[in-house]
Amino acid sequence: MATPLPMPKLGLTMEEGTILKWRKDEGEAVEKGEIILDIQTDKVEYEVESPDGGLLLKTLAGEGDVVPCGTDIAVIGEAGEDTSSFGSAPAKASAETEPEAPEAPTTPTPALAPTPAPPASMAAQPAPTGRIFASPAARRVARELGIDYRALKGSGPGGRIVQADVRAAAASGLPAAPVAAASGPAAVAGSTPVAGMRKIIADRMLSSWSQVPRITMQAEVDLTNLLAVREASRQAWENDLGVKVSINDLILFYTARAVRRCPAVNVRLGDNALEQMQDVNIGVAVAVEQGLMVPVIRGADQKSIDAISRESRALAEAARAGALGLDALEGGTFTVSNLGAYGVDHFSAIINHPESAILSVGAARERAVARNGEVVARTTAFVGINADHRLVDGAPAAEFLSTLKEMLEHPKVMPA
Amino acid sequence: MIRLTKVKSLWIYETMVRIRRFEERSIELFQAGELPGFLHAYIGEEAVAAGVCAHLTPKDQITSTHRGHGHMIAKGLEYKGMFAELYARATGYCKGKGGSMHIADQDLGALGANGIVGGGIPIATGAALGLQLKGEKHVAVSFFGDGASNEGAFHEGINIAATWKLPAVFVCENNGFAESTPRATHQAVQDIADRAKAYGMPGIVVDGMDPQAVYEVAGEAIARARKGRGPTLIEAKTMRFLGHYVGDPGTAYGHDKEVGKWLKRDPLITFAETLKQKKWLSKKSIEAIHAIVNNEMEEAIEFARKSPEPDLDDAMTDIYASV
Amino acid sequence: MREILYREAIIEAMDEEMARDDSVFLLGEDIAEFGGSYKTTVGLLSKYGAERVRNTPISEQGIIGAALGAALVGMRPVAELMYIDFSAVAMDQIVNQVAKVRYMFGGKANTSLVIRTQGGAGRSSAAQHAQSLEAWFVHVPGLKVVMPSSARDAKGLLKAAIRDDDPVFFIEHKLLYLERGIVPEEEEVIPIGVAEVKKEGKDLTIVATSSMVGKSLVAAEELEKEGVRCEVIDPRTLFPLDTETILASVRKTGRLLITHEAVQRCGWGAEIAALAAKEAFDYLDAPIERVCAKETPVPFSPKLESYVIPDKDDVIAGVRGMLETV
Repeated sequence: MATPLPMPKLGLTMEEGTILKWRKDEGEAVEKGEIILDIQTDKVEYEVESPDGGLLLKTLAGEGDVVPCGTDIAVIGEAGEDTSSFGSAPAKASAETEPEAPEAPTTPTPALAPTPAPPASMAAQPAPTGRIFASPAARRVARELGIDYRALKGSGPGGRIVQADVRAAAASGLPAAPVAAASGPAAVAGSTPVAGMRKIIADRMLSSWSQVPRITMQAEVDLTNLLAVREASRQAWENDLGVKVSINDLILFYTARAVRRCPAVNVRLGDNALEQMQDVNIGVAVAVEQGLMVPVIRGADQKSIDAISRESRALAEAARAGALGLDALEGGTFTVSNLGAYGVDHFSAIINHPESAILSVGAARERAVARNGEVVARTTAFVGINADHRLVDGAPAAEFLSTLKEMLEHPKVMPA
Repeated sequence: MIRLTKVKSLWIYETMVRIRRFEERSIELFQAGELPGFLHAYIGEEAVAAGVCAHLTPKDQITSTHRGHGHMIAKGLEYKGMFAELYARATGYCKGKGGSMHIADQDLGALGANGIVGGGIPIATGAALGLQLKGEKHVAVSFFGDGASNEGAFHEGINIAATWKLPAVFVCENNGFAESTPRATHQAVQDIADRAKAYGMPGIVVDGMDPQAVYEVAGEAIARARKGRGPTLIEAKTMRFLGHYVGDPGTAYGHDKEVGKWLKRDPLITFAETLKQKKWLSKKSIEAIHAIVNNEMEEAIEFARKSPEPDLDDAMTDIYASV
Repeated sequence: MREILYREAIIEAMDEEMARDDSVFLLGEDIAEFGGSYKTTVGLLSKYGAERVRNTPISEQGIIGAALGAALVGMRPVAELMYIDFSAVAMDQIVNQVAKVRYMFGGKANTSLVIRTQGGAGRSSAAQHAQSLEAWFVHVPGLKVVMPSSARDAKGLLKAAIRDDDPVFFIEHKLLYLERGIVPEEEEVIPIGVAEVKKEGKDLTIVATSSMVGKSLVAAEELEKEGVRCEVIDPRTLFPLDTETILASVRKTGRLLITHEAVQRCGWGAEIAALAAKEAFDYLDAPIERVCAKETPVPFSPKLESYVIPDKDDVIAGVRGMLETV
């Protein structure tokens, strides 16, 4: 009598499981209690033992299939037994190979564009192991401060995440870690091969972090006027220009102009030469499902607000749809990363090497600020610049930030 | 010449009985699986320990060997604490932490049996040094075997004692075998006592099967030491009647063939005969001594069996006086 | 306060203790008229006589055995082993006898004795006269091991060692004998088992012993000019070990470097590394570093000797390696 093997129910809340790997092929002998396949639930990976000895007569679901608990996934029996009464398991669409990152938005520090064509040398590098190197102290502080250190880049020897990195991250408001187990070794929520876009991101983040000495500065920018301008202009923009202008569009618009006015931040390191960039090409960090991309608005300082608005929207949509051409990703000279939509107040973005500076924009929200000796409610955001300190001195970076702040706090009704 | 009195004779006889019976019972208990570790029996050599220790007070010091039960009994250690130690009980002389090879009682001047061949010799030298520095007329006696006479510790220890004229007596119990190695194959000298000359001290050979001879020779050496004239090396020719340890038949290295002629000279038999001839010891007295000793021993064994084992925490004590 | 030589501090300690307690006496090779190979007993013979300042034959196990036997009958001997290297010929007495009798005898044993010796390289003494063998003795339960790095510690700790009821293995350093240091005129007994923070810092903890303490302090001064503030701890006693002082520092700085003149493998530093890895794991921000002698016998050639023995530049390099950022 053939014995069916159902998808086990490993816990009260388990409703379905994903078949990760069949350890046995159809027709192969299996002993009772022997591990026959690996499944994955939303919590764990689990080795499923054979309920009986005999042959694995038939598998009813394939690797990657998601099968409800209790549904038969295999039949064990003797050679020649009829298995026709067992149908295929009603599998849902194949599970994604990459489990979703817990809690964290698709990217905690959207900053880098994938390199369209990795240099040949990159292929020769050993495959990254996916191991995160963090000191015990860094892990403890991360635990205490509720920081997900796995998202950080380390400043210690060999890129090890050290305590100071975690404290810096905490100060800049990184997302909290998922609730950790009360004791025992750190739980791994899922494992994804570092390949493709992730590898490019990883390599470039690492190279930026390990090669670029950063200077970081932030300013609180009063956006009350900008919001008022947008409100006042909304009708006109929609009617006359045919666009809905977002705050981010306005920030991109003014950033491009501030970069033009402060060309010291629009530079890069060539062969032992500081290269002044001719154009102001603003990269816009866009979170996509499996990482982040940084499409570029070329000549942004020359473009009107409606063009910026239109182009940024189109680029973001194309990025999310995976429809960006390589040309849209090339040529950036300065990147803007805006995490305001996530409610982040301030953070420190990683420079999109070989660019020399990146702007971080936090959430615009009402805050109590002092104005002429009185505390008043204003809508502000923390805007910061991270610059390559080899090329950009503190004063020019500060000058840029103050220029941008001035522009954002005193916007034109109809910017051009 | 120091004469063996009747009182001392009877003391020596009883002491030899105590040693012999202790060893015999220990072997039985060991073979019955009651005692952990291993045993080195002193049977056959009793005349040496008894003859020497007959001169010693508790303020005099001895160091001993891995075959040390006899010296400890002769120095005054009691059955209870000794059996309890063999049983690894908390009531043993070493609280169950030393065992057969390390039985000691500083209060009785017994500075320990010693698991290292020759290890006790420099320590006896040191004890003699301490006694000399303190200006006390006590002596330190080191018992060791023919095997130990080839250890560096022997030469270093007796040289220092001779050089400083320390109140020490070195008693080599030459039982003919260094564990399994016959004397002739581990040293060229016939008499270990000859080595004393090299260190500038008297060296005397004595029949280790004759308690009276041992008593007389030891008496002179000890008196000499007490008078500040320095150490003496006594070589007592003797024989262990059993193998190196309980369980060693001694057949592999000729001990079993050698021992036969020595058995006829068993000091417990010959000395009893001598004393009987002198009318110092009657058959009844011999029976009484055995009865008393056996009775005391069985009580001690019961005491040991009923005694508690050491607590686990005891493993961590007595390592330091204070930390 | 007055300054005296490290070797003079040793003499003072023994002098004061011999005057205080009649049971204290000295024995060792060449310690009487000659005053000790490193002149650490000069003047004591004339003051206390040949009974209490005893020249011995060249018989290291005889010396240690004699010290033990004397202790067992109530004396407080201070035995000198001319070189720590020579402890090898006295190992039975040190390891099997001195360290064990108290335990083997169930606690009933007077073992109040000090074995003074000296180790370390720096004088082209080569492989049999320049070793740092302290780990051998720390490894043996029953021994206390003291390793003073300054004249003041040498005196205060030797006095404590002589008064201690346990055997103390007291390791001096041949290069320190002629170093001068502040030692109070008044009596000072420095307790065994208490470390000293020789310099405070916040960035990194250096645990150093003997000659490496001074080198580490120089290294720390140089590093301070670069803004790196090292805390330098001298445990002074290797056993019993003041773990709390070390751990408190590691928890503060997050980084631990251990330096000793002994070779690295199975060195005492490994014990400290293991201690910190277990007890301060969550505070470590970098792998624990050890700066030790290269794993060779000590060479004769001054050039080779200085190559294999760690110096302050090795300490600095070790520190930099741990603080390096990318």
